[in-house]
Amino acid sequence: MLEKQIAPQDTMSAQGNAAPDEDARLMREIADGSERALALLIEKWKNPLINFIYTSTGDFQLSEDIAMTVFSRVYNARGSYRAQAKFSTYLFKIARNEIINQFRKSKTRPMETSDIEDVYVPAPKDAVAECKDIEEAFSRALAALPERQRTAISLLVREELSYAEISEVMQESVPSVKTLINRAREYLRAALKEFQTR
Amino acid sequence: MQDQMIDNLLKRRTVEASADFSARALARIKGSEAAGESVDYSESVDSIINGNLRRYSVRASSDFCAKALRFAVDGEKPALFKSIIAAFSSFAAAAACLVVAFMPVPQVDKPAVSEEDFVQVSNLSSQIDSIANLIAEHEVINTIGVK
Repeated sequence: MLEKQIAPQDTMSAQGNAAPDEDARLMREIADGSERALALLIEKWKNPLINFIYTSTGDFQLSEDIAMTVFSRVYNARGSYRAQAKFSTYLFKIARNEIINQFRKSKTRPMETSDIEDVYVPAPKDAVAECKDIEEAFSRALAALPERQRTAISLLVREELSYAEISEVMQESVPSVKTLINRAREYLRAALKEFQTR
Repeated sequence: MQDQMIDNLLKRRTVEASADFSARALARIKGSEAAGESVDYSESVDSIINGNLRRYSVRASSDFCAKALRFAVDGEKPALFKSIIAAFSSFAAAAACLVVAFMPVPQVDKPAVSEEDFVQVSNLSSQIDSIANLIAEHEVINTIGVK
C-alpha cells in the first residue's frame, strides 16, 4: 500500500492523536460486555455530541434525545466496530445521519434563509448591551445558515476536526467542505459587520 | 480579526448535558437490549450511498469508467498510476453495484438492512474514499511532473 504524502492540516485534527487508542480500547471493552467502559464512553462524549447536535436543532431536549439514539447505535455496532478512523469521526457521522433522519421524520428544520437582512441587528451604543446583542445576532445568523455550512464550520471550529475528517463525517469532498466553511464565514462576517472592532 | 471573533462566539455557544443524561442513556440502551429490539440500518446505508454519489457523481459519470480504463492502458503512464486508475474504476463500478443492490424497492414489506450490511457498506465507502484520495494525489503529481 502506498504511503500517502498529504499536508498535515488535511489529515490531522487540531487534537492530533488525542487519546484515539483510548476510544478504540473502550469500544473493545464494550464489545466484551463492559458496562463500565460504556459509561466512560458516554461520559466522555456526551457534551461534544450534544453540542454538535444542538448546533443543528437548537432544541436542547431533542438534542439529548438524538444523542441517546446515537449512543444506542454505537452500542449496537460494538461487535463490528473497527478503528479505521478516529472515533470522533465515526460518532459525528452517525450523529449527522440521525439529525437528518429526525428532520425528515418531523419535518422540523432550523431556519434557513439566505437573506442577511432578516438577521441583521444594528450595533447598539451601550458596550454591555453590545455584548449581548453580538451573541444574539450571532445566534440568529448561525440558525440562518444552511445546514451543511453550519455543520461544517461547527465541526471545524468547535470539534477541531480536520478537513479530511469533516469530509468523512459529512460525506462531502474536501474541496466542498472548504467551500462550505468559507461561505459560512462570509455569511457570519456580514451578519456581524456592525460589531467589528475598529 | 472577524474570523477569530466568529470562532470565539461559536466556541462560547455550549450547552451541558443534563446531570442524569448518562444514567438515562445507559437505561435506554439496556432497555432496548432487554426488549430485543433490532435496528434497521436502511437510512444509514442510504445516507452513505447518497454521500458517495454526491461526491463522486462527476467521476462516476457514464463515460468515466470507460475513459479511465482507456487512460490506464496508455503506455505513457507509470504502471502504478495505471493500477490506481484501474482500481478506482473497479471501485466506482462496485459502488454503482452497491447502489443498485440497495436501491429502495417500492414494496410494502421492505426487509430491514442489518448491522452487518451497514458495516460492509461503511467499510467500502471508506475504501472508496482512500482510493479517490490516492487518485487525486497522483493526478496532482502527474500534472506538476514530479517523478
